[in-house]
Amino acid sequence: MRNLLVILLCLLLNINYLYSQTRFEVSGAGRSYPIAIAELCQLNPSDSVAKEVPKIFAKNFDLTGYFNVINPSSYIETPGKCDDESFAYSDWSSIGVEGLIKGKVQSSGSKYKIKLFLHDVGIEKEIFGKEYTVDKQNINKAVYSFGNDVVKHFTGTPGIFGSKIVFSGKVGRFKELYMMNLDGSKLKQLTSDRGLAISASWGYNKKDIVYTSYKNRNPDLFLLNASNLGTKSITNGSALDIGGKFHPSTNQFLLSQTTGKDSDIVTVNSSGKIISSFNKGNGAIDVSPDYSPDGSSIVFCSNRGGGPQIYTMDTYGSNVKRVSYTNSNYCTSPVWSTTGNKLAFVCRANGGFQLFVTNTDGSEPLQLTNSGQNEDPSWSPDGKYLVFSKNFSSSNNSLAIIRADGQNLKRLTKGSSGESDPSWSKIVF
Amino acid sequence: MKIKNYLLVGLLVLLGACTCGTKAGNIPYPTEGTVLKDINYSYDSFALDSEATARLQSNYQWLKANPGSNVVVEGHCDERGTNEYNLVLGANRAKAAYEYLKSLGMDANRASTISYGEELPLDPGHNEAAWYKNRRVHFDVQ
Repeated sequence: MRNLLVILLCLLLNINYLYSQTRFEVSGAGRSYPIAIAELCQLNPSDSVAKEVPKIFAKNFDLTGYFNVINPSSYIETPGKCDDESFAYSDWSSIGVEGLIKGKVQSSGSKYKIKLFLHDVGIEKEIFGKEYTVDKQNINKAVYSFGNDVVKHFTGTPGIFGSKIVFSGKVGRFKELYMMNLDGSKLKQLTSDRGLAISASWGYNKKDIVYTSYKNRNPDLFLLNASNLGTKSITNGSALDIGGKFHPSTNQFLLSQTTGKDSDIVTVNSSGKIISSFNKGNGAIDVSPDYSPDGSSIVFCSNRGGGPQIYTMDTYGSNVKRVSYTNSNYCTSPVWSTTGNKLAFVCRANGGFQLFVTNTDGSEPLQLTNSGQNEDPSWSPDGKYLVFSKNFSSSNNSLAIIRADGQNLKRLTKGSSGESDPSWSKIVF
Repeated sequence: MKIKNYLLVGLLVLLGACTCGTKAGNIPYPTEGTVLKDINYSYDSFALDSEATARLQSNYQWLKANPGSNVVVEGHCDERGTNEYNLVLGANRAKAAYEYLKSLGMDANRASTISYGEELPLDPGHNEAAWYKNRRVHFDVQ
């Protein structure tokens, strides 16, 4: 009888744990520069780091769409080989590898010294090498740093390994904010608001997030510190405050505020006081605003012309121009690219919502998806990719990325918590 | 055997206090209106049709007869459309119902409005019948 009670007790504690620690799995596949990452030479035995590092590299290179990670099962060289002098480039060129990462790891007290080297197999030369000293839980940071340098070597611009994505996921019947690295690692629940935590957007550093929460039983804007999880109220009136965005340089927030039949784009200071209000009282639904990266323009969705379409305007509310010309009667969720030259938004098409990218004047619209529900796009820090929510199967949403040219659709999460509303960090951590 | 009893009591206390996905929370459970009837809307619209106004009139009569009760007017949408746009549409629906009740004579302070967009569907189905049920304003009596 006592054993039964003990078992029941453990079960209860585990159920609580499960509700606050939902697990996600990540899947993907790749192409282009053939690359290989050899198992590291391990200078102290009995550790998994030498095997872990190549896996982290592989997952991240694969997500870029610019690298074809050659399957380790075809490697000829002895895994974990430590003797540099007798390392043969032909072991790699013969299996089609162009870029080769090799390295060594040595534990030193509670830390690890990791040396990583990039080799050009074609010219049989080491291109560069770096050394990192990290705690065990920060091994991935060494990988991300080196990986971004490798991406820069091959593509001309640094990679975005180690950038973070904040999103909403279901915890029981509630929606809470989560954060994860691009490759799905270091998943962390950020809120316990026991309501709806939605519409999150990163600021311009490693900690600032603005989001909408129902924790005070009304949709209000809050500031969240992603590092210590502290929150601060920004707005607390009876209006519906959503779509909060940081201004690139001042301490102001852009959002849409709905008080009556009207919904207006407004800017507020950190105490929620309205600084500017655009087109108040025009009777239209103006929603989902975003700043251009220099803060001089705003893109937003409005139904002032009938159905919802995308418009840009300056920060005085003048020079309003429609920029959605996609033969759709319903376009929304616009976001301005981090490099300033493109807009992304979604429009109703092909029986659902599809992603579109255009120039900032609305010219040359490109449709990126053509089936299912694709919502809430957010740009990568280098302006090359979009993360968005997609329903891969008929009901559950999960997160996916796609390159802005429409290539490289990759699934990021499994959908077990209906992942939605993603925002990509503006910096690489 | 006293230890067994304490363990049992401890378990029951834990069960009672257990917050794993139970009622305590800052959003309501989606329920169909009983005392005050839900009203429904057309797709993408916050206009009140004749059935809606009839129900609002009867809801107003109840409010008149029960002056001690206040109400939260919740606006909801079906799952089509984007989350953000639907939050606004839900707010518009709630406001339309609220304004109509006020026009009948309800004191402005007796009701507040809130939108849950598509987040709290009454019917989890993906068909016209479910969508119709979800495009609603619900009156939560306080």
